[in-house]
Amino acid sequence: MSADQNKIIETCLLAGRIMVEGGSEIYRVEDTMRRIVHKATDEGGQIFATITGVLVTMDSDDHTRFSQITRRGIDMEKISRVNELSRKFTDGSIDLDELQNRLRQLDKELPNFPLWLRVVGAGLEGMFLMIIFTQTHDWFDMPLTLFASAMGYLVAELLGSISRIRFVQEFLGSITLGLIGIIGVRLGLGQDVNNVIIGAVMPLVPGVPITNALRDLIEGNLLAGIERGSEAALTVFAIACAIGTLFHYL
Amino acid sequence: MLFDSLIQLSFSYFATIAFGLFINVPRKALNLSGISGACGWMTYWFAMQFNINSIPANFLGGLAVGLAGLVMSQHKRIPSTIFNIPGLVPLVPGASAYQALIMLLSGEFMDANEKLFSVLMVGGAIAMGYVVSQLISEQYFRYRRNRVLSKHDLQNLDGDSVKPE
Repeated sequence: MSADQNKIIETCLLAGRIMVEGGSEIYRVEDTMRRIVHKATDEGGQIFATITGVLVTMDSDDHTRFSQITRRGIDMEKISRVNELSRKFTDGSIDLDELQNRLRQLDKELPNFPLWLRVVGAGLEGMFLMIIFTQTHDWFDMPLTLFASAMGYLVAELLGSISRIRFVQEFLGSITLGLIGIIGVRLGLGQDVNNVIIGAVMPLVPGVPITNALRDLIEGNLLAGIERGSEAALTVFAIACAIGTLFHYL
Repeated sequence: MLFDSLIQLSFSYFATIAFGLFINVPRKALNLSGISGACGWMTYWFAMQFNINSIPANFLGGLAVGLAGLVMSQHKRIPSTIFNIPGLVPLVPGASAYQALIMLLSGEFMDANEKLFSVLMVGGAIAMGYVVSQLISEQYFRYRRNRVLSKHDLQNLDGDSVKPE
Protein backbone atom coordinates (compact mmCIF):
# COMPACT_ATOMS: atom_id res chain seq x y z
CA MET A 1 0.00 0.00 0.00
CA SER A 2 1.62 3.20 -1.09
CA ALA A 3 1.98 6.23 1.13
CA ASP A 4 -0.31 8.23 -1.08
CA GLN A 5 -3.17 5.78 -0.78
CA ASN A 6 -2.58 5.61 2.94
CA LYS A 7 -3.05 9.34 3.13
CA ILE A 8 -6.24 9.26 1.07
CA ILE A 9 -7.78 6.67 3.34
CA GLU A 10 -6.66 8.52 6.47
CA THR A 11 -8.14 11.81 5.30
CA CYS A 12 -11.37 10.14 4.27
CA LEU A 13 -11.74 8.41 7.64
CA LEU A 14 -10.97 11.63 9.50
CA ALA A 15 -13.64 13.53 7.58
CA GLY A 16 -16.18 10.78 8.26
CA ARG A 17 -15.35 10.60 11.95
CA ILE A 18 -15.68 14.35 12.50
CA MET A 19 -19.05 14.40 10.74
CA VAL A 20 -20.47 11.53 12.79
CA GLU A 21 -19.20 13.22 15.96
CA GLY A 22 -21.14 16.31 14.92
CA GLY A 23 -24.36 14.31 14.61
CA SER A 24 -24.68 14.25 10.82
CA GLU A 25 -27.06 11.90 9.04
CA ILE A 26 -25.33 8.76 7.78
CA TYR A 27 -26.15 9.28 4.12
CA ARG A 28 -24.36 12.63 4.20
CA VAL A 29 -21.28 11.12 5.88
CA GLU A 30 -21.06 8.34 3.30
CA ASP A 31 -21.61 10.78 0.46
CA THR A 32 -18.81 13.09 1.62
CA MET A 33 -16.37 10.21 2.11
CA ARG A 34 -17.20 8.77 -1.30
CA ARG A 35 -16.59 12.16 -2.94
CA ILE A 36 -13.17 12.45 -1.31
CA VAL A 37 -12.10 8.95 -2.45
CA HIS A 38 -13.50 9.50 -5.91
CA LYS A 39 -11.77 12.83 -6.39
CA ALA A 40 -8.42 11.59 -5.05
CA THR A 41 -8.20 8.31 -6.98
CA ASP A 42 -10.65 8.63 -9.89
CA GLU A 43 -11.98 5.31 -8.71
CA GLY A 44 -14.73 4.37 -6.34
CA GLY A 45 -14.52 2.82 -2.94
CA GLN A 46 -16.68 0.91 -0.53
CA ILE A 47 -17.79 3.06 2.39
CA PHE A 48 -19.65 1.95 5.46
CA ALA A 49 -20.54 4.33 8.27
CA THR A 50 -22.38 3.79 11.53
CA ILE A 51 -22.65 5.83 14.71
CA THR A 52 -19.80 3.92 16.37
CA GLY A 53 -17.30 3.66 13.51
CA VAL A 54 -16.50 4.25 9.83
CA LEU A 55 -14.97 1.79 7.33
CA VAL A 56 -13.29 2.43 3.98
CA THR A 57 -12.07 0.03 1.29
CA MET A 58 -10.58 1.42 -1.89
CA ASP A 59 -11.35 -0.27 -5.17
CA SER A 60 -7.75 0.19 -6.35
CA ASP A 61 -6.18 -2.01 -3.64
CA ASP A 62 -7.24 -4.60 -1.13
CA HIS A 63 -6.81 -2.69 2.12
CA THR A 64 -9.64 -1.87 4.49
CA ARG A 65 -9.34 0.52 7.36
CA PHE A 66 -11.55 1.37 10.26
CA SER A 67 -11.85 4.33 12.61
CA GLN A 68 -13.65 4.05 15.91
CA ILE A 69 -15.95 6.78 17.19
CA THR A 70 -16.36 7.03 20.94
CA ARG A 71 -17.88 10.44 21.66
CA ARG A 72 -20.93 11.75 19.91
CA GLY A 73 -22.93 14.90 20.23
CA ILE A 74 -24.69 17.47 18.12
CA ASP A 75 -22.34 20.10 16.73
CA MET A 76 -23.45 21.87 13.57
CA GLU A 77 -20.19 23.76 13.14
CA LYS A 78 -18.32 20.47 12.55
CA ILE A 79 -20.71 19.32 9.83
CA SER A 80 -20.65 22.71 8.16
CA ARG A 81 -16.83 23.00 8.17
CA VAL A 82 -16.18 19.48 6.87
CA ASN A 83 -18.74 20.02 4.14
CA GLU A 84 -17.07 23.28 3.13
CA LEU A 85 -13.61 21.64 3.03
CA SER A 86 -14.78 18.64 1.02
CA ARG A 87 -16.51 20.95 -1.42
CA LYS A 88 -13.29 22.93 -1.87
CA PHE A 89 -11.38 19.68 -2.35
CA THR A 90 -13.76 18.35 -5.00
CA ASP A 91 -13.69 21.55 -7.03
CA GLY A 92 -9.89 21.55 -6.88
CA SER A 93 -9.15 24.70 -4.89
CA ILE A 94 -7.24 22.80 -2.16
CA ASP A 95 -5.16 19.62 -2.48
CA LEU A 96 -5.08 16.48 -0.35
CA ASP A 97 -2.31 17.67 2.02
CA GLU A 98 -4.12 20.88 2.72
CA LEU A 99 -7.39 19.03 3.27
CA GLN A 100 -5.76 16.69 5.76
CA ASN A 101 -4.07 19.52 7.66
CA ARG A 102 -7.22 21.55 7.89
CA LEU A 103 -9.27 18.56 9.04
CA ARG A 104 -6.71 17.77 11.75
CA GLN A 105 -6.79 21.35 12.92
CA LEU A 106 -10.59 21.27 12.94
CA ASP A 107 -10.52 18.09 15.00
CA LYS A 108 -8.32 19.73 17.64
CA GLU A 109 -9.74 23.22 17.94
CA LEU A 110 -13.26 24.16 17.06
CA PRO A 111 -14.92 27.53 17.61
CA ASN A 112 -17.77 27.24 20.06
CA PHE A 113 -19.99 29.61 21.99
CA PRO A 114 -18.74 30.33 25.55
CA LEU A 115 -20.23 28.18 28.31
CA TRP A 116 -22.34 30.95 29.86
CA LEU A 117 -23.99 31.66 26.52
CA ARG A 118 -24.78 27.97 26.00
CA VAL A 119 -26.28 27.78 29.50
CA VAL A 120 -28.40 30.87 28.84
CA GLY A 121 -29.41 29.33 25.51
CA ALA A 122 -30.54 26.14 27.23
CA GLY A 123 -32.51 28.18 29.76
CA LEU A 124 -34.22 30.24 27.08
CA GLU A 125 -35.03 27.16 25.03
CA GLY A 126 -36.79 25.55 28.01
CA MET A 127 -38.68 28.73 28.76
CA PHE A 128 -39.96 29.35 25.23
CA LEU A 129 -40.80 25.72 24.57
CA MET A 130 -42.77 25.52 27.82
CA ILE A 131 -45.28 28.03 26.41
CA ILE A 132 -45.29 26.37 22.97
CA PHE A 133 -45.76 22.81 24.20
CA THR A 134 -48.33 23.38 26.89
CA GLN A 135 -50.32 25.78 24.63
CA THR A 136 -51.17 27.92 27.66
CA HIS A 137 -50.14 31.47 28.46
CA ASP A 138 -48.46 30.50 31.70
CA TRP A 139 -46.33 33.64 32.07
CA PHE A 140 -45.86 33.24 35.81
CA ASP A 141 -43.80 30.04 35.51
CA MET A 142 -41.38 31.41 32.92
CA PRO A 143 -38.53 32.64 35.20
CA LEU A 144 -38.49 29.44 37.23
CA THR A 145 -38.42 27.33 34.04
CA LEU A 146 -35.54 29.39 32.70
CA PHE A 147 -33.50 28.88 35.86
CA ALA A 148 -34.29 25.15 36.23
CA SER A 149 -33.54 24.41 32.61
CA ALA A 150 -30.25 26.35 32.61
CA MET A 151 -29.06 24.62 35.79
CA GLY A 152 -30.03 21.16 34.49
CA TYR A 153 -28.01 21.75 31.32
CA LEU A 154 -25.06 23.19 33.26
CA VAL A 155 -24.85 20.14 35.54
CA ALA A 156 -25.08 17.72 32.59
CA GLU A 157 -22.45 19.69 30.68
CA LEU A 158 -19.98 19.91 33.58
CA LEU A 159 -20.33 16.20 34.33
CA GLY A 160 -19.53 15.52 30.68
CA SER A 161 -15.89 16.38 31.32
CA ILE A 162 -15.74 14.09 34.37
CA SER A 163 -17.63 10.97 33.32
CA ARG A 164 -17.84 9.29 29.93
CA ILE A 165 -21.13 7.60 30.80
CA ARG A 166 -23.94 9.65 29.30
CA PHE A 167 -26.53 8.08 31.60
CA VAL A 168 -24.95 9.67 34.69
CA GLN A 169 -24.86 13.13 33.11
CA GLU A 170 -28.46 13.07 32.03
CA PHE A 171 -29.69 11.48 35.25
CA LEU A 172 -28.01 14.03 37.52
CA GLY A 173 -28.96 16.92 35.20
CA SER A 174 -32.61 15.88 35.39
CA ILE A 175 -32.41 15.44 39.18
CA THR A 176 -31.10 19.02 39.44
CA LEU A 177 -33.78 20.56 37.28
CA GLY A 178 -36.51 18.50 38.91
CA LEU A 179 -35.41 19.55 42.40
CA ILE A 180 -35.28 23.21 41.40
CA GLY A 181 -38.74 22.94 39.80
CA ILE A 182 -40.39 21.19 42.74
CA ILE A 183 -38.78 23.32 45.45
CA GLY A 184 -39.47 26.50 43.47
CA VAL A 185 -43.16 25.66 43.18
CA ARG A 186 -43.35 24.84 46.92
CA LEU A 187 -41.76 28.22 47.69
CA GLY A 188 -44.39 29.92 45.58
CA LEU A 189 -42.08 30.93 42.72
CA GLY A 190 -44.09 28.90 40.23
CA GLN A 191 -47.63 27.54 40.04
CA ASP A 192 -47.67 24.39 37.90
CA VAL A 193 -44.85 21.93 38.51
CA ASN A 194 -45.74 19.87 35.41
CA ASN A 195 -45.39 22.87 33.10
CA VAL A 196 -42.09 23.85 34.67
CA ILE A 197 -40.61 20.37 34.26
CA ILE A 198 -41.91 19.92 30.67
CA GLY A 199 -40.04 23.07 29.69
CA ALA A 200 -36.97 22.45 31.80
CA VAL A 201 -36.17 18.94 30.51
CA MET A 202 -36.26 20.06 26.87
CA PRO A 203 -32.51 20.79 26.52
CA LEU A 204 -31.83 17.20 27.66
CA VAL A 205 -34.62 15.42 25.74
CA PRO A 206 -33.21 13.68 22.64
CA GLY A 207 -35.98 14.78 20.29
CA VAL A 208 -33.64 15.35 17.38
CA PRO A 209 -31.80 12.00 17.71
CA ILE A 210 -35.17 10.20 17.73
CA THR A 211 -36.27 11.92 14.53
CA ASN A 212 -32.84 11.35 12.98
CA ALA A 213 -32.95 7.69 13.97
CA LEU A 214 -36.30 7.22 12.27
CA ARG A 215 -34.93 9.03 9.26
CA ASP A 216 -31.82 6.82 9.04
CA LEU A 217 -34.09 3.77 9.30
CA ILE A 218 -36.43 5.01 6.56
CA GLU A 219 -33.47 5.72 4.29
CA GLY A 220 -32.18 2.17 4.75
CA ASN A 221 -29.23 2.75 7.09
CA LEU A 222 -30.66 0.15 9.44
CA LEU A 223 -27.68 -0.34 11.74
CA ALA A 224 -27.11 3.38 12.30
CA GLY A 225 -30.82 3.94 12.88
CA ILE A 226 -31.01 1.23 15.52
CA GLU A 227 -27.85 2.48 17.26
CA ARG A 228 -29.07 6.07 17.35
CA GLY A 229 -32.51 4.95 18.49
CA SER A 230 -31.11 2.90 21.37
CA GLU A 231 -28.91 5.78 22.47
CA ALA A 232 -31.92 8.10 22.50
CA ALA A 233 -34.02 5.54 24.36
CA LEU A 234 -31.35 5.29 27.06
CA THR A 235 -31.40 9.07 27.48
CA VAL A 236 -35.18 9.08 27.81
CA PHE A 237 -34.86 6.30 30.37
CA ALA A 238 -32.34 8.34 32.40
CA ILE A 239 -34.65 11.36 32.47
CA ALA A 240 -37.64 9.20 33.36
CA CYS A 241 -35.75 7.56 36.24
CA ALA A 242 -34.72 10.93 37.63
CA ILE A 243 -38.14 12.60 37.44
CA GLY A 244 -39.84 9.42 38.69
CA THR A 245 -37.55 9.20 41.70
CA LEU A 246 -38.22 12.83 42.60
CA PHE A 247 -41.99 12.52 42.31
CA HIS A 248 -41.91 9.36 44.38
CA TYR A 249 -39.94 10.75 47.30
CA LEU A 250 -40.99 14.40 47.37
CA MET B 1 -56.16 34.91 17.30
CA LEU B 2 -53.69 37.50 16.00
CA PHE B 3 -52.07 37.94 19.41
CA ASP B 4 -51.94 34.17 19.81
CA SER B 5 -50.28 33.60 16.44
CA LEU B 6 -47.76 36.35 17.13
CA ILE B 7 -46.85 34.64 20.40
CA GLN B 8 -46.51 31.28 18.66
CA LEU B 9 -44.40 32.78 15.88
CA SER B 10 -41.96 34.68 18.09
CA PHE B 11 -41.64 31.97 20.73
CA SER B 12 -40.90 29.22 18.22
CA TYR B 13 -38.34 31.50 16.52
CA PHE B 14 -36.53 32.31 19.77
CA ALA B 15 -36.72 28.74 21.07
CA THR B 16 -35.01 27.50 17.90
CA ILE B 17 -32.28 30.14 18.13
CA ALA B 18 -31.71 29.30 21.80
CA PHE B 19 -31.34 25.64 20.87
CA GLY B 20 -28.94 26.66 18.11
CA LEU B 21 -26.72 28.34 20.71
CA PHE B 22 -25.87 25.14 22.51
CA ILE B 23 -25.55 22.84 19.51
CA ASN B 24 -23.01 25.28 18.03
CA VAL B 25 -24.83 26.36 14.87
CA PRO B 26 -22.51 28.48 12.67
CA ARG B 27 -23.15 32.15 13.37
CA LYS B 28 -24.19 33.05 9.84
CA ALA B 29 -26.89 30.36 9.94
CA LEU B 30 -28.37 31.20 13.34
CA ASN B 31 -31.07 33.62 12.19
CA LEU B 32 -32.18 31.45 9.27
CA SER B 33 -32.39 28.34 11.44
CA GLY B 34 -34.73 30.29 13.72
CA ILE B 35 -36.90 31.12 10.73
CA SER B 36 -36.92 27.46 9.70
CA GLY B 37 -38.13 26.47 13.18
CA ALA B 38 -40.85 29.11 13.09
CA CYS B 39 -41.91 27.91 9.59
CA GLY B 40 -42.35 24.32 10.75
CA TRP B 41 -44.17 25.22 13.94
CA MET B 42 -46.53 27.75 12.28
CA THR B 43 -47.42 25.21 9.58
CA TYR B 44 -48.28 22.70 12.28
CA TRP B 45 -50.12 25.25 14.39
CA PHE B 46 -52.28 26.60 11.57
CA ALA B 47 -53.05 23.05 10.48
CA MET B 48 -54.21 22.31 14.02
CA GLN B 49 -56.31 25.51 14.02
CA PHE B 50 -58.09 24.25 10.89
CA ASN B 51 -58.95 21.03 12.74
CA ILE B 52 -56.55 18.79 10.85
CA ASN B 53 -55.57 15.67 12.78
CA SER B 54 -52.25 15.91 14.61
CA ILE B 55 -50.54 13.19 12.53
CA PRO B 56 -50.96 14.93 9.12
CA ALA B 57 -50.31 18.26 10.82
CA ASN B 58 -46.94 16.99 12.05
CA PHE B 59 -46.23 15.56 8.61
CA LEU B 60 -46.84 19.00 7.10
CA GLY B 61 -44.63 20.59 9.76
CA GLY B 62 -41.75 18.23 8.97
CA LEU B 63 -42.23 18.86 5.26
CA ALA B 64 -42.15 22.63 5.80
CA VAL B 65 -38.91 22.40 7.80
CA GLY B 66 -37.30 20.24 5.11
CA LEU B 67 -38.32 22.56 2.27
CA ALA B 68 -37.21 25.66 4.18
CA GLY B 69 -33.85 23.95 4.77
CA LEU B 70 -33.55 23.21 1.04
CA VAL B 71 -34.12 26.84 0.06
CA MET B 72 -31.80 28.18 2.77
CA SER B 73 -28.99 25.73 2.02
CA GLN B 74 -29.06 26.92 -1.60
CA HIS B 75 -28.99 30.52 -0.49
CA LYS B 76 -26.17 30.23 2.09
CA ARG B 77 -24.22 27.29 0.59
CA ILE B 78 -24.16 25.27 3.81
CA PRO B 79 -25.67 21.78 4.25
CA SER B 80 -29.40 21.65 4.90
CA THR B 81 -28.93 19.68 8.15
CA ILE B 82 -27.71 22.87 9.81
CA PHE B 83 -31.18 24.35 9.35
CA ASN B 84 -33.21 21.18 9.73
CA ILE B 85 -31.97 19.90 13.08
CA PRO B 86 -32.76 23.10 15.01
CA GLY B 87 -35.89 23.57 12.90
CA LEU B 88 -37.40 20.29 14.06
CA VAL B 89 -37.08 21.18 17.76
CA PRO B 90 -40.44 22.92 18.26
CA LEU B 91 -42.21 20.00 16.54
CA VAL B 92 -40.78 17.29 18.78
CA PRO B 93 -43.63 15.79 20.87
CA GLY B 94 -42.09 16.74 24.22
CA ALA B 95 -45.23 17.42 26.21
CA SER B 96 -46.97 14.17 25.20
CA ALA B 97 -43.83 12.20 26.00
CA TYR B 98 -43.78 13.77 29.44
CA GLN B 99 -47.47 13.00 30.01
CA ALA B 100 -46.92 9.39 28.96
CA LEU B 101 -44.07 9.21 31.45
CA ILE B 102 -46.18 10.59 34.30
CA MET B 103 -48.95 8.09 33.48
CA LEU B 104 -46.46 5.23 33.54
CA LEU B 105 -45.15 6.34 36.91
CA SER B 106 -48.60 6.57 38.42
CA GLY B 107 -49.49 3.06 37.19
CA GLU B 108 -52.01 3.98 34.46
CA PHE B 109 -50.48 1.54 32.01
CA MET B 110 -53.29 1.45 29.42
CA ASP B 111 -53.41 5.23 29.07
CA ALA B 112 -49.62 5.39 29.06
CA ASN B 113 -49.48 2.84 26.23
CA GLU B 114 -51.93 4.83 24.16
CA LYS B 115 -49.95 8.02 24.72
CA LEU B 116 -46.62 6.34 23.93
CA PHE B 117 -47.96 5.01 20.65
CA SER B 118 -49.21 8.43 19.69
CA VAL B 119 -45.75 9.87 20.48
CA LEU B 120 -44.17 7.25 18.20
CA MET B 121 -46.67 7.96 15.41
CA VAL B 122 -46.04 11.69 15.65
CA GLY B 123 -42.26 11.11 15.53
CA GLY B 124 -42.72 8.90 12.47
CA ALA B 125 -44.93 11.50 10.80
CA ILE B 126 -42.29 14.21 11.28
CA ALA B 127 -39.59 11.92 9.89
CA MET B 128 -41.79 11.03 6.89
CA GLY B 129 -42.43 14.70 6.12
CA TYR B 130 -38.73 15.30 6.29
CA VAL B 131 -37.91 12.37 3.98
CA VAL B 132 -40.51 13.51 1.43
CA SER B 133 -38.83 16.93 1.35
CA GLN B 134 -35.54 15.12 0.68
CA LEU B 135 -37.19 13.32 -2.23
CA ILE B 136 -38.43 16.61 -3.64
CA SER B 137 -34.97 18.14 -3.33
CA GLU B 138 -33.35 15.18 -5.14
CA GLN B 139 -35.81 15.49 -8.01
CA TYR B 140 -35.25 19.24 -8.13
CA PHE B 141 -31.48 18.85 -8.39
CA ARG B 142 -31.81 16.18 -11.08
CA TYR B 143 -34.12 18.45 -13.05
CA ARG B 144 -31.81 21.42 -12.67
CA ARG B 145 -28.71 19.45 -13.64
CA ASN B 146 -30.41 18.13 -16.77
CA ARG B 147 -31.55 21.57 -17.76
CA VAL B 148 -28.12 23.12 -17.24
CA LEU B 149 -26.48 20.31 -19.22
CA SER B 150 -28.76 20.77 -22.18
CA LYS B 151 -28.17 24.51 -22.17
CA HIS B 152 -24.41 24.79 -21.79
CA ASP B 153 -21.22 23.12 -22.82
CA LEU B 154 -21.03 19.56 -21.48
CA GLN B 155 -17.29 19.82 -20.82
CA ASN B 156 -17.22 21.94 -17.69
CA LEU B 157 -20.02 20.21 -15.83
CA ASP B 158 -19.26 16.74 -14.53
CA GLY B 159 -22.03 16.63 -11.95
CA ASP B 160 -19.73 17.46 -9.06
CA SER B 161 -20.27 21.16 -9.49
CA VAL B 162 -23.92 20.76 -8.57
CA LYS B 163 -23.77 19.20 -5.15
CA PRO B 164 -27.03 17.74 -3.91
CA GLU B 165 -27.80 18.83 -0.38
